[in-house]
Amino acid sequence: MLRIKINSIGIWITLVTIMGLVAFSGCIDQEGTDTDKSRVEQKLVIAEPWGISSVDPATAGGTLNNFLLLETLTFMEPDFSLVPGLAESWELIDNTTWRIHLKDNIKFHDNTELTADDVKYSFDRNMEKNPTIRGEMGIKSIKKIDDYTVDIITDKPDAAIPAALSYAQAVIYSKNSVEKDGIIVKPIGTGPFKFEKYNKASDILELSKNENYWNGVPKLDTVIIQGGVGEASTRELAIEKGEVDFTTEPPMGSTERLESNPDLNVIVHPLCQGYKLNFGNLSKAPYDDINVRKAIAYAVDKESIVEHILYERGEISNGMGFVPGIEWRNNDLEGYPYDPQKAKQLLKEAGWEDTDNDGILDKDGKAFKITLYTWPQRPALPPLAETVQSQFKEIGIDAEVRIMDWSAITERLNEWGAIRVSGGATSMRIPDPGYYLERNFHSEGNSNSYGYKNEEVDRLLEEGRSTFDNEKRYDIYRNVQKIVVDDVADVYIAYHNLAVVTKSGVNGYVPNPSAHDYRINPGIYIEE
Amino acid sequence: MISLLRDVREFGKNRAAMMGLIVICILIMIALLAEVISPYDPTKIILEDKLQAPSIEHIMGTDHLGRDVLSRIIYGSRLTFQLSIIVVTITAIVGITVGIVSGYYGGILDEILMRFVDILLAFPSIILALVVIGALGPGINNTILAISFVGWLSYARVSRGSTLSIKEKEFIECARSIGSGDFYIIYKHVYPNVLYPNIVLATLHMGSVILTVAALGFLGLGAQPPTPEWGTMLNEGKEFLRMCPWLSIFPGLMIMITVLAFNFIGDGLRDALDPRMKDVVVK
Repeated sequence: MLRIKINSIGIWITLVTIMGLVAFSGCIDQEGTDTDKSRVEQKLVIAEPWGISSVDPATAGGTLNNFLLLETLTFMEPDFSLVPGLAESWELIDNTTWRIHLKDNIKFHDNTELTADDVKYSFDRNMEKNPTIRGEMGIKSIKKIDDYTVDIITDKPDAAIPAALSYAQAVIYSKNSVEKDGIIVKPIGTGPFKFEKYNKASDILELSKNENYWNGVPKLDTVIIQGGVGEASTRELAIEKGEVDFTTEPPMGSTERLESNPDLNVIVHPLCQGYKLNFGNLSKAPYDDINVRKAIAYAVDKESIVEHILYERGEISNGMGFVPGIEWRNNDLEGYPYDPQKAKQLLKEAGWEDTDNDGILDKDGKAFKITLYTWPQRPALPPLAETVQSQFKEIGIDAEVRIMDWSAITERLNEWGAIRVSGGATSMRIPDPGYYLERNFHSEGNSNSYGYKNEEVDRLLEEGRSTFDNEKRYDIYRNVQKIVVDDVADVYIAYHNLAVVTKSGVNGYVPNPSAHDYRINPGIYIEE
Repeated sequence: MISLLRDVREFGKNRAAMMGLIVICILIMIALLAEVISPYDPTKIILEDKLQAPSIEHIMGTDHLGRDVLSRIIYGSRLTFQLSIIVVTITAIVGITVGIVSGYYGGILDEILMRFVDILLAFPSIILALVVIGALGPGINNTILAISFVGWLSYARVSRGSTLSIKEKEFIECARSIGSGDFYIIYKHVYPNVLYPNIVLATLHMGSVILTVAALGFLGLGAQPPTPEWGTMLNEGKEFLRMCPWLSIFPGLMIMITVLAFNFIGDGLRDALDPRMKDVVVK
């Protein structure tokens, strides 16, 4: 009897002890972070929307570049000017050869010196493992001239090479980077932050300060990036609860509420991305008729979309993807302001009329019934598509909205009347007009899935590539922009502004609109 | 006839079940009279009126595109009932037919059909529905197909069991001895006896179908915008949960009330019809 009692008391004691320990350990943890805060630990925790999934520069170069681990030969400044990066200077040797002179005082994170061998190694490896990089940059091969000089040989005369060298994927890393089974698991770069560790299971990347950074020592001691926080409301909750110090793209409607929170800073800045409508197929009815395309462009109320769908996190476009401030932007374009009357008129001219009085236009017995395809990952897209749908209804076009995976949409764009409502259309991954214009409007462009073909545009784009005088070049590209907007190759609705949310103690973030989607900078520091 | 009256009385004594029945009757009225009672057009987008809190003008507020939430809920109930009635009808017909045929004829046919049912039952039904929608693409029609694809299994199981026990009864033997054909026996003797447990099953199934439809809608795989559907509305409201909770609360409440009502009715029916059948499993 007694023994049993003791036993049950023993159990109670054990339980209470365990509970006490658990509760206590929580307390200790809490206090631990509190004291850390009081001496203002220079540590930045970032919640990143996209997954990191690899630290191999050949595939994750863009990410590692955005987090300042790896650098490129040239840099794009926030004001869109191209400045020397790891390269000191560059010159054109002949039509297809660019000579790049490297800076000679640059050390990798392992204290070895950056030489032409590393540059050649990085380029060769990047282009071999990731054919997209070769495709985007148009580089044929890299030749070492001496320890601090390399030649870049291109397929065709290419004036865009210096800009292409700032492409976030064209990162330079040491040939001593630790490789395992052909995949780099510990990249050694030149950036302000060094690789500490990467946990693939939890998708957390840890970086530490590079004391010997060639361009001034960064202020932060550690940067921790939690990748794959895809849900906007999850990121919002994380920053509000103080779990992270820095994140981007909270839910569209929350900007105002977050701004009123004294513990947070909200920075909304332009980005070279935007929202647009892509016609499914320009060579087939109904979009082979330019009047129909124009009518659709006039039918979209861009102003109200920017105000109510993008919550002012955007700006009306001039019909082209380049944001104001970019040198080669054609500032004379006006795009297609909202005008439903004009849209109806144009459709009438194209032969579309409501003959059976059901509110839907028809022509030769065919009703104007189309499908708007879009995908759910960008939160503004589904409501944007629904709004466009209701605006089309006003001019007599009956649209159905289908939300599905990006890849599934591609297969359906040949259906009669298909339109893709797109977001994230980027114009500056390579800061050169050729990148965006050729991809989208050259008849063989990578993103030209809608079959836009204008021989004049093709000719001008090729001429632009091989023109080395910048003023002349930009004029050619401005001309292309005008032709494309006149042709209504697509309907660019609005530029997308990025919202960055930080704790109020995070200072020194300088937005870089050319980044995809954001890039931290060495000047960031934490203040109480 | 007398037994039916007794069953009705039994059912009437069950308070929860009666409550459920009343709620469902009201909801069906709402669904039928959607045009008359809904204050606004459920798909009319007025961006200027977006995200308004509940007020006299908009009893349940407006959503992120300025549409009236109450109107959307009303039209949503119509869609929900349509969908679930179609699904339950299809699955009940298919399931009962398969079950009776399988149980009545037995042998290799029974073996094949039941093993097929076993295989499908081994998967969680929502996963199978996701697979079907993944293959066919999202949309209302595909939602019906996907849910029906897995929904008929329980009916087949229940019907087969009842058929097996009934076909051994003397009155079946009598019928056979006077020369009745298989079809006649199934139609006249087996089918009416199999129907009772299936009615209970169908009522409980209504609840689970409504839940699955809402789940698929929430995942963006069900009704496509701007169609008002409760699950889709939940999904759209999720983005604004912290600011405008009414966008999610009202559709969520509706789903809960409807499913609960169907479950109460199902329980009541089960108790009234057959007190021994207390553990019918609804997939």
